[in-house]
Amino acid sequence: MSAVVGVPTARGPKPTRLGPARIGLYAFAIVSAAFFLMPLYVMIVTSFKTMPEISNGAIFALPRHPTIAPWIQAWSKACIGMDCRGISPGFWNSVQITIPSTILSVLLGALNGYALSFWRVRGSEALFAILLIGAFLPFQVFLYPLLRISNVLGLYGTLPCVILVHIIFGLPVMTLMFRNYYAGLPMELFKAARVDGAGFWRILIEILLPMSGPIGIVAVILQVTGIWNDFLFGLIFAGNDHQPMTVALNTLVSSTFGDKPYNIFMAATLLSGAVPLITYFVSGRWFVRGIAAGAVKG
Amino acid sequence: MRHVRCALMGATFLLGLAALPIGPATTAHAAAPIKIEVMDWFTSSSETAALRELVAKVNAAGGDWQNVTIAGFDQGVAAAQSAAAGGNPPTALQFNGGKQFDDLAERGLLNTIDGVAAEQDWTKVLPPALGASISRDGHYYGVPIDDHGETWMYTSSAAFKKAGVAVPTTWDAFFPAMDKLKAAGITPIAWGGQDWQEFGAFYTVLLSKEGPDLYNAVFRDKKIDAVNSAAFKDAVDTFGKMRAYVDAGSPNRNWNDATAMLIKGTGGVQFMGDFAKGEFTVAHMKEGQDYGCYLGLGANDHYFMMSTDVLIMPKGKGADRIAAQDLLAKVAMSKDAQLAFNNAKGGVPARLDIDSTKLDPCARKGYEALKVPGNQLAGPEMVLSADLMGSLTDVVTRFWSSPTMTSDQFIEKFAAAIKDADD
Amino acid sequence: MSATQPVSDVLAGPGGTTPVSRPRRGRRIAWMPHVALTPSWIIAIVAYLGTMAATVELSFTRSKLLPVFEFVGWHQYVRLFRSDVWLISVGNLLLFGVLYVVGCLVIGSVLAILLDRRMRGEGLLRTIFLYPYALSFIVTGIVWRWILDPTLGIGRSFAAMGLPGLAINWLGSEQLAIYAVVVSGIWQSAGLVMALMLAGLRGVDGEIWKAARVDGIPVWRTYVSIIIPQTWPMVITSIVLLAMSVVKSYDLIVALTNGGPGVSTDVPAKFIIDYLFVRTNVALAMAASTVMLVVVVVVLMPWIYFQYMRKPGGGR
Repeated sequence: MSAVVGVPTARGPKPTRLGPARIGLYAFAIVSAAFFLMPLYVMIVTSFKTMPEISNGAIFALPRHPTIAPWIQAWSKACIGMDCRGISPGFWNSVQITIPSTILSVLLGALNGYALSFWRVRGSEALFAILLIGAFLPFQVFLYPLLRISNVLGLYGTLPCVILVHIIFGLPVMTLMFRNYYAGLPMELFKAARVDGAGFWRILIEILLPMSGPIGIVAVILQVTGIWNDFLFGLIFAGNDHQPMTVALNTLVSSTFGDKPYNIFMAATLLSGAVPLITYFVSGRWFVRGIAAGAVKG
Repeated sequence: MRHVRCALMGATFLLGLAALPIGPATTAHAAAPIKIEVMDWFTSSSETAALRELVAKVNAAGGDWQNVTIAGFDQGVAAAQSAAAGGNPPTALQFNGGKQFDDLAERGLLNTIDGVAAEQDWTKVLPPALGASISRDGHYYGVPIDDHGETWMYTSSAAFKKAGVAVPTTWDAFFPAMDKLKAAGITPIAWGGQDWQEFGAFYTVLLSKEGPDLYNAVFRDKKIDAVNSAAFKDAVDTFGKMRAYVDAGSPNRNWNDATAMLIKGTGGVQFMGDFAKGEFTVAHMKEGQDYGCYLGLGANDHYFMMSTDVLIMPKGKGADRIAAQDLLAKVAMSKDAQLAFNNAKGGVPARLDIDSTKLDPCARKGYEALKVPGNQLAGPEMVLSADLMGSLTDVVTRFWSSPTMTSDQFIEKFAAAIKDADD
Repeated sequence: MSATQPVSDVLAGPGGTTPVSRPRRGRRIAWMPHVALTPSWIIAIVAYLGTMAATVELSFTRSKLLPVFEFVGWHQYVRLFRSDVWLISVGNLLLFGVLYVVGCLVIGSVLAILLDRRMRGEGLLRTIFLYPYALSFIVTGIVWRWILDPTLGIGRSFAAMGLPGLAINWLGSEQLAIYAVVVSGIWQSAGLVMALMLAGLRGVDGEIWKAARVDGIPVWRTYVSIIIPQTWPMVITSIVLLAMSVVKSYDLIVALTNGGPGVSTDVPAKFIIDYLFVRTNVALAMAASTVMLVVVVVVLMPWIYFQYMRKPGGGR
């Protein structure tokens, strides 16, 4: 199972000596890197500047009088409407939304993948097809009726509501991932377990789940970043008390209070991006593998 | 502020409301303070201050105000529904007077406020057009807490002084003055490049340059002939001409950022609703001295185009719901509350029987104009559906941001939007 | 076959591995799998099929704020296609979609090839190219809005550097704003293509390189005519992933331009949300949703069928 393959080492052409072509390559790499880093750089320097410095200085300049005040403001003091608690409530809302949504959708995906790939279930192809189509459709197609349903059920604007919506829309990709992963496992494992008299749940819990680590990590990363970054569902289904951080952020930057404090906006933006960024930096290898490993199968 | 927004709050709330079991609400008199839950989207500093005044008055009269503020409603689609979930809508909801709660009233989801209205003689004290915007078939469904003038023009004294030009009082003098401002390095028109602001500037030009008859014919009566008239084209031309007098930073600018330009003296004039006045007050600027406020420009500068924030009272469970709603309506419409609320928010009282000396100079100017029945005009929100208003806003904002679009194309699209509207 | 079938594969489809015909033990009915799939069936039927049906149904009514089941035939569709704002938003989606997908593919591939050339600091560069993909479109939109701010952003810096020609007011121009959306979108997603293509390049048989060198084929030609064609599955995967975010694009537009100036960056997703919640014309919004539904299904069905639904043995 060591087998979730990462990006293998370069197999491409051997590097030639440091000639003009090589120098050109590095120059290109540096320019590209600068382009990709520029927004992050701008966010960081702006977030440490004072407002006068922002209005009078250049966007790329380093802060002359670095201050962490914008960060404190953004986190716990900036006003979003009448509520002057910064975006920290949004942060905690996002935590409350992301954790259960991730756990439940990954587990449900694993269960589905297992049932679909090891058991012959009547109609499973139809189910699979519906989920697949669902994965590709714009959410607007489902939105309004879903809103009505959540109202009729009295769920609207509650934490369970937005979690449920994340599970619903995470289901297709989670199911796909686990189904294909399990389909790649040797059938003999399953057969042997059946011969031993193991039932549906025992096979899942004792044999498959322990083997699901690699795909599980990828699935968790995908869901954590995806759910954390969600805007639309949080906006529509979470209600006023559970608005996730992305919504709080967008509200903050479009609110109409006096001069626009860009330093606070940038600090708030960085704070909102922190969780997915940290996930990415910490689990970078898995993140890349998750996206990339498909190509090296077989 | 952005009145269109309330529609979205309303929409989402309504979605929630319609799912509720509608039981007969019973009246009961509780000895303890009556809990009054109000959902609103008052979020700017002046709005918040105004709200506090109202809350204090309601609580002093035996209420226990619990506020649910909706923030971020610009895209804040469904937030209002959270309170409606669980089958218990708040005591009252902020809406705008006009067609927005048609659906609600038609379906019998709202309690009427006829009792309080009769007691306080609303029919007499409210401007008729405003009264019409809160009633359906002779029943009142909304408590108007303010009356906003939509078509103000603000000027920055510092900017005009720097340019050495007088504030224009006629349309003929307007563009020459703008040229002078421009030559002095000032942004002549402090422009908020958001669609609703552009729409507002357009109907301000239409009303103040072409007069109320054309405005009414187009907006209230939706007459295609009027849209095709020469006067309408003149308004479009004038509006289009303004494009040359704004700065590069105008797209997407908030209205208060535009007002800030006047305060700093970097912008000359701003066309905006009366709530912009609050920004000057906060900046300790004096009317007449540091800034000017005019109810439009030119010969028609005495017409008061109204819009109003209302509280509507949804049906729902709870024994003292009616009592709470009555209390709220009574206090919110009292002279005291109207005065305190509007002095903080920037509008004028919805009822016309209040001593205007207690208003600030700009508000007094507006209020005195409003008291003359012939000056009262129903604002676009009162007479247009959200759908049509949106389509018309699209036409205006497209025209504004595409210099290649001609006035004739504008007129054609404007007429088409009216014809295509479902109501 | 290896035991690894992660994301890209999952989305591109693993060739022939259809729901596997696993051997059944005896004739005993295994009802537990049915139980296990029940929640998913409920979701599929209620949240997917049911809502789709309701959306289509409502599009034929005159619903405004609340559902009204008074049917008006094709009225909403007629109005929809007479609305030039809708047509503009569809055009924007196509323009954005094509430029964004092509841009991400080209830039991502170039970056992947770059890294494939045994660069020093490959790990660091990979991290730099991919990190924006971890960020939300809201964050992306806000950052780029700030960078492109005409009064305080990059334009002013260019002007200060004596390059006023570069100080273009992207977000203030009807013609250019959509390209600002494209650029920020590419910034966000090009790393994804880079990661996928890099894996694809690394998956190519090393012998090919030896052969190419023996034949004296230049490196760039080897890439263009031999290596890249071999990474076709990765290209497809990239296109699918990118296309999915195009169809769903809403957040980026809202945060960056909010559809403006004018309606020059409006997209169908925003059009629908506006009519649902701001303009309170549910039926029209549902008609627009139905159009999107039909288009996506028509385009996707054959592809999904061939990718996922083919019977085993139809693979490679």
